[in-house]
Amino acid sequence: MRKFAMNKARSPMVDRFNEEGLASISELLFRTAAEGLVVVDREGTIRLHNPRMAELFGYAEGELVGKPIEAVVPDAAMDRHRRHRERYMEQPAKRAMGAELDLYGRRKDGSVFPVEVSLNHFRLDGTMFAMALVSDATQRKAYEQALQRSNAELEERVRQRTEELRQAEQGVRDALEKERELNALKSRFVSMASHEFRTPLSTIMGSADLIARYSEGQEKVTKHTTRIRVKVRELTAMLNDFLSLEKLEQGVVEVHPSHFDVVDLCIDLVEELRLAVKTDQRIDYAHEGERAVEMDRQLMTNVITNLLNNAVKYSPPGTTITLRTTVLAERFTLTVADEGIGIPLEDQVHLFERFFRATNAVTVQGTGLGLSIVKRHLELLGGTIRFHSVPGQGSTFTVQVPLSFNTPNETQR
Amino acid sequence: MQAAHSLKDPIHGVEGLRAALLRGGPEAHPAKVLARTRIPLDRLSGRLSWGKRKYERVCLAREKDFEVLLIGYRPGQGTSIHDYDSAEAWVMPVSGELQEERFDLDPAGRPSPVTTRIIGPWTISYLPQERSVHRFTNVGPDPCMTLNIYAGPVKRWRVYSGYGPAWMPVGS
Repeated sequence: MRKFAMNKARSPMVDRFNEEGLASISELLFRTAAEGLVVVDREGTIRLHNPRMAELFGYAEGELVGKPIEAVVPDAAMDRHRRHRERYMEQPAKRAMGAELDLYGRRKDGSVFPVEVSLNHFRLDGTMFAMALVSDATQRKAYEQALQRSNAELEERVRQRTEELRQAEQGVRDALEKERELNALKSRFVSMASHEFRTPLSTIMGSADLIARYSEGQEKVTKHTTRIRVKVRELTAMLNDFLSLEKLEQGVVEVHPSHFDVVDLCIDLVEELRLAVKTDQRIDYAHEGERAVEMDRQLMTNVITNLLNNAVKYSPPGTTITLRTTVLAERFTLTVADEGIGIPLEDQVHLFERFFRATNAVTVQGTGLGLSIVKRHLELLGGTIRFHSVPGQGSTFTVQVPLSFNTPNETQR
Repeated sequence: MQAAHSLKDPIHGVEGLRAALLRGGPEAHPAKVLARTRIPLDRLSGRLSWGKRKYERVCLAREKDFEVLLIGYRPGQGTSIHDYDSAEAWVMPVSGELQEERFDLDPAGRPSPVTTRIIGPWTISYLPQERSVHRFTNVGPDPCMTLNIYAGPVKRWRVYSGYGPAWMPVGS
């Protein structure tokens, strides 16, 4: 095997070794390199290769020497490789071979495998040689392909997921649209039904009044007309709840403040409620402070009526319902306390939700809308409601409303 | 020449009623003032809306020491069984017939009837501060109006559930 001289410009490291030692090291590097090393002359004939080169391509050590370099190039790439090699010899440079291309080598048995090749050149005795470092890229290619497959799968999953999300979004939009349509239908139905039901109920109530008057002194008739009247009142109250909720949902409830005497109002409401009170129930009303207030009388009437009705409904006979009002420092405060069944602790957090019925109240007639409406009416007035309740002992609801609150529609005036 | 206004002259208007009560002295006693009051019925009736829902209370005058209410009852309408706890009251029908029921409270706080009577126009009924649990009902065929004077504006109102077959107000 022809010995090639090393570059005369030695590195400091090389200087440490004598000529013989250096030759030994070069020989060692040549023989043990992990990459195949091959040197070809201008005509493309292999002039030298290391054992790893032979091993990579399935040849015996030294077997490639004298063969054209195309012996290790796949048939399909042979012509192209020859042209590239000839051009390289015209303008040699140190570079990676086939940058951004997939290069393949051909083993002695004809099998093809991916390779990476780095090219360089040198001159020896005026003759130019090309030198290539060749490494097996099978593993790297396998990794790359696995990565590509993984990427492709990932992209496919993303695409599928995106499509699913798009379909889900469309589904939600469709459902929302349907719900809107159903809500509109429900609103129209509830409004229509509530309005239409109230007319016959009013007639029933009027007739019950007349029967009661015409049958004065007939205890059984009075008992039943009273029952009719109480039930009609309950039904009317339920329909009023539905109508109030619909108005709130539609955002058509406006606040119209007016000056009125809050004591007169409360006495009127307490007097109205006497039909609903149970045997030996009492309502005790007292007021402190100024009597004249400026609030939305109708909304406040709804609030007080609702709270008093609840107190009566959820309290047993023989108990007292206490109503207190205070006007102090531009603030109206109202408390309604009862000695009733109270609200179970686990239900208290849900008390102001629509259609919520406490677990101990399901046998008592009601829609579960009253307190939700109360809270929303108070919000319109800038007010608050809170409560304290002990199951089995009773509940106290406290309402506070600022008397100087500027409602949205007031501000616009 | 305008005649001097006598303390015994009839009172024909709400303002005169208020002025008489504000005047002070023995002649300003609510019972004496009511006894002189002869406000034309149409002037009082016009202040009421006569709703079907329930009897109606309208404040005619309110001062620190008294409150004057006009109350209208359609036939069959009436108050709850109630008391004011804190105020004497004088009630005078000016039209119609009113049934007045008075109650005692038993140890459990339940009202039990003590007296029942019918009072007609210009009859003055006095409700003392104590033992004044009562109920008024228009049992006549015509609308009924009363003038009520309270010694001090009412700030407390206690309603007791009725006993027996109570009258119901007309309408819903």
